[in-house]
Amino acid sequence: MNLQRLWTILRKDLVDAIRDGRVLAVILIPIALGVFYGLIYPDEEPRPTATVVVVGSSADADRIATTLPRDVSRALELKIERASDAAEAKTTVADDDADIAVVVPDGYLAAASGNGAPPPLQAFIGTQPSPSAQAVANLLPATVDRLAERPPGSALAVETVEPVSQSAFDALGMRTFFVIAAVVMLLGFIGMLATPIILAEEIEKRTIEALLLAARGSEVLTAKALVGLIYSAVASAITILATGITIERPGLFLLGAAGLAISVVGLGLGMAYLFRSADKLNTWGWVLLMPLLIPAFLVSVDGSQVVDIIVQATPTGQGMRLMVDGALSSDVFGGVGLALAVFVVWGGGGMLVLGRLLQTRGS
Amino acid sequence: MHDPPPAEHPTGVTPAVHVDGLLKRYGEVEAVRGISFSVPPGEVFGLLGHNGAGKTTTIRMLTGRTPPTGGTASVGGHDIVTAREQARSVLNLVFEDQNLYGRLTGRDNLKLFGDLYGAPADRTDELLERVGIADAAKRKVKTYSTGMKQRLLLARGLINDPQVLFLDEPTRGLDPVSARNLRGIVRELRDGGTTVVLTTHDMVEADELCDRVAFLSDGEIIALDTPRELKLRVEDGDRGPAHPHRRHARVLLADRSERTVALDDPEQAAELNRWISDGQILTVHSDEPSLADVFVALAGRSLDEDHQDETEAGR
Repeated sequence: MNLQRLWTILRKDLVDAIRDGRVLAVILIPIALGVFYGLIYPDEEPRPTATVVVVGSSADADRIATTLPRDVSRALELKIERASDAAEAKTTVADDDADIAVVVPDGYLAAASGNGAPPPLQAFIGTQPSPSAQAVANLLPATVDRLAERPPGSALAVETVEPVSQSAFDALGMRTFFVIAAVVMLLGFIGMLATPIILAEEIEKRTIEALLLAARGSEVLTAKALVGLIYSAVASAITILATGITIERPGLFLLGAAGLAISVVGLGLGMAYLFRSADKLNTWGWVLLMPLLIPAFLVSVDGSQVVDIIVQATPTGQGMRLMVDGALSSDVFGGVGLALAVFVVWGGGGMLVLGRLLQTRGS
Repeated sequence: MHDPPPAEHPTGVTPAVHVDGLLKRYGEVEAVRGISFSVPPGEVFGLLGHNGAGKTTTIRMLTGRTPPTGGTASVGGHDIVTAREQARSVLNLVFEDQNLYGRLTGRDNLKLFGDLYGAPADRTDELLERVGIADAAKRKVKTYSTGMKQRLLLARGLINDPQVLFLDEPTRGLDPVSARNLRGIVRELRDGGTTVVLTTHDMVEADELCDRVAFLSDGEIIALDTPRELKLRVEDGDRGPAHPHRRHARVLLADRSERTVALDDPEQAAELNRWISDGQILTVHSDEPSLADVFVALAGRSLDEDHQDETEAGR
């Protein structure tokens, strides 16, 4: 491969393609969508909410369940649920259906009254507690002290509970989730519309014949792929910087974005040779693209096994999973190896189709 | 990797193009059926034939864009299969389609290919000047006329200073002035030692430009010679009832009357001499067969049939 020729074709495409209104629209629409999501979903909700499970059916449990929401009402809006036993409450927290659970034994307030050390009050909280859950944990002792008519100082014996599963939506919040979804959309648009439009126009206008006379097929193909990847990188960076979302693990986020971009660019180049017309691609490419984008949004759905298979088998689903994990300090999904395998299969498949077509054309 | 040495012809001169038994098969269809010919350096060689005769497939093979099914061919002494990269470095092609980048300027179009071929930096401006579009160099190509685009295509074909230039229907769709200008440039190239291989439907153009022509019909070469020899070959044979005389001339006399004189009739030849002596002749035109007549005589079909087919297919 001649790097000088590769650079020459790449430089031409970078400048020429962006002048094509179709390519420009395909790049700008998802960036605008990402910025729009960033604007309509605020960073923090004005009044955070939390769900608290109060375990026990005694009068003490009732008093705590009634008093706690009033005590924290300036900071939090509490939803109180009741549970009959500690095991049920622990499962509720693990399922992420409640932020915190408090076990109130019979006669606790009486036992806690007086000046001595109160017996510990058991509570369950997730390993990555939300600020609301943490706030409840901090405020609860003051309520208990007041109800027990004792000086402040009651202690909580807090036990962390490993979550069974956590939705991406809950982990990230709507704003970050939709901005990442917009980045997936952006990568899909560039990979499966902009990049193939660039190649299909060359095929349609037969300029590729002239290129293939002066350069190798592999050089032309690599240059087209690099154009798609460079546009993807720049557009993704603009979207993330413009929305200001926090990426806790940039390496993992980048791996997801790069893997998805390479995969859809490979697929898109294969599509260019199937359609062989920029206009046809601009019209019908969406029909193929839209079903491929849906899995990115399904990652937040706690759905059936079929949905999970679709998400895990598609590059957009896997890309979204890795990027969500990258935006958080710990994994919601995991499975980097499977994600990379899915990227290779989809992207490699598209490139193989294209390579075979180029070979049969004697290039 | 070292370049394989150019193949030398038995005559000692390396032919610019050498084709031996070249064959191309698409499934059951033989597009080119084992053709052979050789083009010496500096010659303008025409490949003529109807649509589907195998001209374009032959050019595709010679320019390394499709591999042959059988036979061998070399360009500039480099085998088109085993030394394809070397062969490509000494050839270029002016495509029939005006495949230029419309959003780029004329200069940028040319510079792109100059960079791909590693041409000197000043080659771009030199060629723009040479083909007469230097004034429009900074304009986007989509604003160019058909003639200007064709000139730019020719400049692109010359960007790597090729030993062999293939021209695929170079004047198709051009107005007469643009076509004449382009033919002038082809003559300059020949005078400068560039070998030109030309495919065309236009028999008048081929007659005017080509040193030798090959008639292709159904994938085979049915005749190959200079235009003059081909015409004489047919003239000496049976040209059919439309042309009962073998050699004759049309003479326009001073009284504006037109006479047809059989040159092999002693009495009419004497009369012609008398008109010359008396200064009565305004013009004399020979009535030799055209290359199109030759093609019809040899292929048994007219090139016009293809144009009619194309027109009907387009309806």
